[in-house]
Amino acid sequence: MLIDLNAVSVAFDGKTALDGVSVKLDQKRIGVIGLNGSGKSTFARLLNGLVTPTSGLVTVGGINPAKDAKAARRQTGFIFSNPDVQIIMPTVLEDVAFSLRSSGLSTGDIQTRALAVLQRFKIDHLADQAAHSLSGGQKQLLAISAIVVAEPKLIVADEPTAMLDLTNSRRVAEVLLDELEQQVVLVTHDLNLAANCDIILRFAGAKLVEFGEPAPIISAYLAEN
Amino acid sequence: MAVSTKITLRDLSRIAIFAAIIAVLGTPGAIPLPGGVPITLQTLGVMLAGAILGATRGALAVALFELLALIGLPILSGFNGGIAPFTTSPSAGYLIAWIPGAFVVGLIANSAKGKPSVIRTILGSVLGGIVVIYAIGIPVCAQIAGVSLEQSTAWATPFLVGDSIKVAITAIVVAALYRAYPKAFKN
Amino acid sequence: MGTLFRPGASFLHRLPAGAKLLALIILVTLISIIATNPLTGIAVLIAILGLFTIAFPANGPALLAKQLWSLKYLLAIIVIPQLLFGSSWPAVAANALRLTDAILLASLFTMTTKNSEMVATIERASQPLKPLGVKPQTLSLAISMAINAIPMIAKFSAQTKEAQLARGVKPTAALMTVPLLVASLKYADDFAEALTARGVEI
Repeated sequence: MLIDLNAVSVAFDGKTALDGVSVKLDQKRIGVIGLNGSGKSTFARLLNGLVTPTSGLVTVGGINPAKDAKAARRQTGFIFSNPDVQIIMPTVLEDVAFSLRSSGLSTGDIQTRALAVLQRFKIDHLADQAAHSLSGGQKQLLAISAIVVAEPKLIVADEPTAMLDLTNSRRVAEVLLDELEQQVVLVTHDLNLAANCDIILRFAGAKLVEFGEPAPIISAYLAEN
Repeated sequence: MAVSTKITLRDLSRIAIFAAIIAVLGTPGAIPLPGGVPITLQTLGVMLAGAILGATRGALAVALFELLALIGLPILSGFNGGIAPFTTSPSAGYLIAWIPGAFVVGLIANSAKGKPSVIRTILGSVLGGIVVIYAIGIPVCAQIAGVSLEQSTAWATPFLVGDSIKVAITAIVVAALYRAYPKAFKN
Repeated sequence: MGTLFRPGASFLHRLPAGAKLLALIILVTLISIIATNPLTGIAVLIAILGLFTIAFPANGPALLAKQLWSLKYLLAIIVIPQLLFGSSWPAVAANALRLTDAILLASLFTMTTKNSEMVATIERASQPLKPLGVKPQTLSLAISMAINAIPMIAKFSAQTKEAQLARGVKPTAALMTVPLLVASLKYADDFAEALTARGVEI
């Protein structure tokens, strides 16, 4: 799917969060790096209309998220750093099933599909557990399951491993980078993860400073900071 | 009157989180006092809900909290819940009065846009958090317990001490919250 | 999060929540009319013991005793001042029994009704409010969100207390509430963003 930003700027409360970004992306694994406040989270939120451009145009798979947020959110799933804020329903299975509540499927079909996704990520043994009793890594896998069950075309993850320990980070990264068939935009501080992407975008001071092959961009980033 | 008509997702989220805050404020053990109406920090939650979220959202947060108790979660003080506290218990009137109470707190304390005023917060908490709640709670208690209004009023009187302290805490907390997180008061 | 519901297979468990609620209202009204002397009060109490035993064949009487014990302060507070002010023993006893009977019945309702059934009943009951802008799905969404948020807020509260103790501050209601509110309201705003991202509409 083509992600197309044309001269996009975003300002909040008089502060520039993103300044004149133009880029076309159709790679399967897109890494986004940069310091805190560099604009990378704003870039991620543009893709499903959580943030709308002050000027310029964003289209994702031909849809303008600022105009048709509903369609944009159907085709783009979003994973946040804090898994706690993403859980809506009391138990694991209910939370995954919640994503399909307006799909028109029967209750039985919804349960079957939800369970299949939990099996896929090997957390089906937790189906009836209280979602908040899960570990951080399990919660993040639950968040991914709840997104994947709705079959989006693009998954945007904003620092999904920031709150996880090493083992859990690895498992979540493995799912996002190796197991998902969808296109993935991964915003991360973990340069090892970024190095495994097909392309990297580096943001600094609200600008997209460079994008391309991971290795040289990561070296430049390390040298600069 | 600043009563919003449309509930947004952000409103819904704040209402649900505030309902949970009121539940958590009730968890440390309750101290039973005359009238069987236990002392609890939950009425502090009622005053804060009105003062921070405003009249409509504050009252909805209290109503949602009570709905959770009604369906059987043991979140009223002393790990109580179910339909008895709202129907057959002598303190039923007080509990139900929390909803209009929070509304009145919000109406007075939260009607000025932007920086909350200490005077309005105190006035709102006294009128909504004490006067409205006692005005409904005392006669209902007399009715259910089968005693005179005088007796019911006598039972309620010791609570004035705790409730006055809660008014002071509400004023302090609201002023401090505005400095720590002004976004809390933005619509 | 615990619940007051106690699983069982009795007919009281199987009765629809709406019907049970109606029966409860009728029974409590009846009790307030007929239980005017201690003897009828005790008779009703025995009948309630029977209902507890039907609902929980294994430990009905024990559960009733537990409920009664939890009413001890309430009863002491209602009985003692009335006696001090010179009401007669039978009148005071009848009054206390009437109150006890009503509360026990209401507790039995809660103990035999699943939370989810209560939610469904409330959803149905809120149908007539639709024209006023109250959507039943929004109501059940709000209930789920709040149930979920309770352990989160409890965690914030524990963390706040710990942080204050670590800094050598004695946590008081006023001191604890501000950081608790900041953490909770930030959480609420992040949560709203995640709901939006998941395409939730209300």
